[in-house]
Amino acid sequence: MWTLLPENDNLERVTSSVEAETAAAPRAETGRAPLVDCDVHEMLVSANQLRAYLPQQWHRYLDSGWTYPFFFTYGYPTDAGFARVDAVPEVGPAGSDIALMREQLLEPYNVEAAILTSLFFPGDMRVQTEFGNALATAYNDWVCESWLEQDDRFRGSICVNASDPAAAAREIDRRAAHPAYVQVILGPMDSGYGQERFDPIFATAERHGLLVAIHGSARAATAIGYPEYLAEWRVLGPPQQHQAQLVSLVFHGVFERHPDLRVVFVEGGFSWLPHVLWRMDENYRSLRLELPWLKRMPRDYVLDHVRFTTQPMESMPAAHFLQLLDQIGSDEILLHASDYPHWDFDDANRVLPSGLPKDLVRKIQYENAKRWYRL
Amino acid sequence: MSVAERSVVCQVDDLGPGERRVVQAGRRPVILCRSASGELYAVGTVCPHQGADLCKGRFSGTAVDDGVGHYQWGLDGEVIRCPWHQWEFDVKTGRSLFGEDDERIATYEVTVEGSDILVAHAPTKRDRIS
Repeated sequence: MWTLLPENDNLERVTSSVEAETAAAPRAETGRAPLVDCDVHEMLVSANQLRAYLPQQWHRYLDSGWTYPFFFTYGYPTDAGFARVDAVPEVGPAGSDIALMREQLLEPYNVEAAILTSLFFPGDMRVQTEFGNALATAYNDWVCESWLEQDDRFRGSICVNASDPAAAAREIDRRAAHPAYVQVILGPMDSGYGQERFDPIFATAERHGLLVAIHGSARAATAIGYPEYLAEWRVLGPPQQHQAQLVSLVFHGVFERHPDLRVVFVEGGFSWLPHVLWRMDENYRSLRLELPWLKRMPRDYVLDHVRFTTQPMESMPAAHFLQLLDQIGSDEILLHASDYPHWDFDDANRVLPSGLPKDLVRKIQYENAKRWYRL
Repeated sequence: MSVAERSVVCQVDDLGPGERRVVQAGRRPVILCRSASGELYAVGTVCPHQGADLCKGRFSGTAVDDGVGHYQWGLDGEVIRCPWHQWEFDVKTGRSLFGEDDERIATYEVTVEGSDILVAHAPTKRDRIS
């Protein structure tokens, strides 16, 4: 188990404003250790950018005003919608300007690899199946040309229409040879991805040595539907989506069917893991006969097959953070993510509690992702 | 450096009600704010949370308590909001609006002499609140 740095006998973060004023400005830091950022959102300026990559049939849909559904249903009380106020370029939405992304993220944080995760989930768009499939293909073409081939620090997520798993598998086959792709990304789904109908997606990803990333969005409800306030949804929505999908993958035997599969849960928290791991194990002990295909304790599947990105990380003292890792039982399960350019961006220089051992910080911000993604 | 050290940062006419500007007070940049009611305040530029640059944040009013389920806009020109996580700080005191007293921004004494606005070079000292 990790212990706090011996010289750090004060677990408080730097909270006095005077100290904060004199702390090194993170953006000016030089010589920063290299970083892998596992959640970076590249954005279209508009759906019309996909026109050049769509067959004629679908141009009519764009002509008649189709645009991809905004991933968020709530109104935003924030100053720049879903964006960091300082990350909105002169033209287009935050995340659409590659130069600004270099200036605000890749350079100052010494990002060795930025995993692009889009926010484009055709499986969640409630469009015609064939249109959804065409959108996935077009999006991937656009990302290859406009992002992956513009900077070798970018790594890609294959966009698929998860509602049509067979077509999704074909799209994965089509993209897998591109060296910049590291994973397939799935958005929210109103049923568990552990269900056998989704198996072609996992089987194909496994066969190509690609990860499967699961990224939620606010188009998914909570256990009480869509609560009144954005703040409520933000507390409940992301963890509930990820908890449900994690349990689904484990209990449905996805990791028995696919022993080489690697999964990463993005942007849905991790501090709930001790609870869910204990609870999965407890219910497996009692109800094993319902899940006879499982050969190991649920916790062991998670530790061997699943990783979690850190952002948006809750503030906590270093001692609590270390206890959490101890309860989870792994210091390899967390991967740093910034969520650039969104307003709940986590700054790699400030987000982890102060007083953590430097080797642990390096694992979370670099080594764990290097190993998991085989970068 | 003398605690009383301060310098002229701009003229009183440079800043209307509800406006703010970033000025240099000695070695430090500070955000000089004029509230809707005309008072002048100066605060630091670094958010205590993750270090975002508050110069990029909005300076405005905000929603104030008016009973559950009711919205009332208030504190016009008294609130600076972080460009990242939207933490709100009262420029009069440097305190966060969510009330955790150790999450604060620095405040600097502002004085007016004739048409000059002067800002202290060192933050206002205050007792630690536990």
